[in-house]
Amino acid sequence: MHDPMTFERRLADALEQYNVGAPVQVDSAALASELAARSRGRGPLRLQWPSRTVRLVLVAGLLALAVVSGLIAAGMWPDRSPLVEQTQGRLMVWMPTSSGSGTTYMYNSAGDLQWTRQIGSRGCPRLLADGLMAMGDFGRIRIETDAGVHVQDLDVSYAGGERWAPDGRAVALVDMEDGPVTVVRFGIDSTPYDLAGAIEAVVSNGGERVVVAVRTGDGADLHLLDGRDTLVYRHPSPAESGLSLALAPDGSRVAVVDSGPNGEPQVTVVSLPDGNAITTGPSVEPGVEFYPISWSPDGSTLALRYGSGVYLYDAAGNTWRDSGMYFHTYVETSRWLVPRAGPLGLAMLGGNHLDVYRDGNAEPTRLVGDGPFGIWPDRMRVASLENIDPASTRAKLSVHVGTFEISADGDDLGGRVATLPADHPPISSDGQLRPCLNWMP
Amino acid sequence: MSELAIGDHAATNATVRLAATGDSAAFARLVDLHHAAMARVAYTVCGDAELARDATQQAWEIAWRRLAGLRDHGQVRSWLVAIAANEARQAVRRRRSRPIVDLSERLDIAPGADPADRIGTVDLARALAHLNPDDRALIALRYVAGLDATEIASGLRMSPSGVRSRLARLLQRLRTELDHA
Repeated sequence: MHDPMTFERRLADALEQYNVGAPVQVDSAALASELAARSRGRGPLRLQWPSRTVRLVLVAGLLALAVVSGLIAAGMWPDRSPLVEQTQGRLMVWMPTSSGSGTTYMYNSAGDLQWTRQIGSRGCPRLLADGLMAMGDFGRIRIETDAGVHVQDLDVSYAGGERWAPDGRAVALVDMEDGPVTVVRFGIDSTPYDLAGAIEAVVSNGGERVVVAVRTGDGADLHLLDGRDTLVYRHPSPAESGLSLALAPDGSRVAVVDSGPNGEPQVTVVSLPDGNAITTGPSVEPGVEFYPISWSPDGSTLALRYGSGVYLYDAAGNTWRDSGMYFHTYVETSRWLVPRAGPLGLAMLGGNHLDVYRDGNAEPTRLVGDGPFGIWPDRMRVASLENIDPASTRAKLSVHVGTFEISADGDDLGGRVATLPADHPPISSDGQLRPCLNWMP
Repeated sequence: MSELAIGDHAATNATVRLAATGDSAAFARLVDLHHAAMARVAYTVCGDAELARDATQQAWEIAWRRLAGLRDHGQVRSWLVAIAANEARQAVRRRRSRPIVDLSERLDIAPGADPADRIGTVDLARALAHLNPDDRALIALRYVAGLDATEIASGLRMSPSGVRSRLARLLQRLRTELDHA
């Protein structure tokens, strides 16, 4: 047992003791003189013409810009912005209470509150195409639609380890203890698969393909569940090593990331359903904590977070490169975003705030902070809850719901912002009962 | 606020203002005042004296270039130690061959400590050694430089509540590790 104040004092004392070895000595006058001399050495600012090659590139770029502008003006260039307008979204915010119930607030994509209802759920309810689903104990799911309430019991002893399809229309329930994996395609079917030792699963849109990793004595077997159970690949992996999966957006490949024999990050891309595999990895020093990988929306690139950096794998060229991004802060979740215009940009999200990074630019743009967030399926907009009264930790929270569009430069293009009613249930500050949100186009 | 404090504040502002114009004598006074704190923060993050020295040197170079852009001269200390922390994190990242530093070896030979206290300190240091550079920077800015959550947030581009919650998680993690030490 540690008293908080005593513990913090001990921490400060230990650091003070440790920092006896810090290089505190400095010749301040010499340092200042050196910096001043360097500054003077640069001389006055002089404008210089760029080299001939650079001048040619600049002229070509300006010409291309003029041509593209003309095409857009003439309506001949495909403008991606209508996709945003065409996405009719619903946004759901669920505010949990300690009793397991919670209040659901349903907004439309413009940020207008549609209705409010009390809903009990183990974890966040999920939006469906025609309603919403709440998860109860013992694998019982409750589906509410305009047609009524439907309760379905699943054939699992404990519904844990939910792995959702990106479109929210299917979920795989992985029973870590007894092994069965149940694939639920909402409104279609629920299929249990007897897979003892399942440790991870990924689900494609609609649940048409599910890939499950099953721990074996000397590695992990990858099973493809698509109505049948097919062993597609036997993956050698250290038994104690963690493992995560990422399914390509079109379901044609699955990437497995774990540690290689020497602790280095190891990525294996497995084609489905034939099981052809390529094992690769960035050239980095082993032993740094790594995080799950994710595919770019077009399936061309894998992003691997390793340590504080991000490494990009070109699946076509089988090459790795350091993106140059550096995560200054703690990150819980990362996602790809598609900027509204221009070339595909890589953007990642941090935990407890939202930072957008562009490929090749180490400095992020902070869009929102202090709350959970969700990305719309078009990957162009972000919904966020923002606590605007952080001082009242045990009082009622005021929460904003907003949607944010991302420009090619990672800028926040703005969006509607709504405010939850002031009478929503109080939320404790222990970090366990955080509001959640999700969406459905 | 006492007259002395007001006088200190005014003197600091004057020094920063002069240094921002390129006055090397004023800049040297800033170095005298803040170098030790910056070096300790960098050392906590790097765990290596040479690396910390390079990071602190780099931090001063940045400070020299950007001092004119510092709006609140009263925040110069937190601004400087945050630069040092960031440079130290970058330095560790560039030299990935040493991602984890065993602090305990150094503490075992630290002179003058009460043996009874030192045992706890060694355990604490071992727990600290498992943190990544980002987390160490947070710990260093809070418990070595003594910055508050708002100052840390400004330096690390985080929200104050984010700093508080992350610090709470870090302390809880350290406590848990110490309970099992």
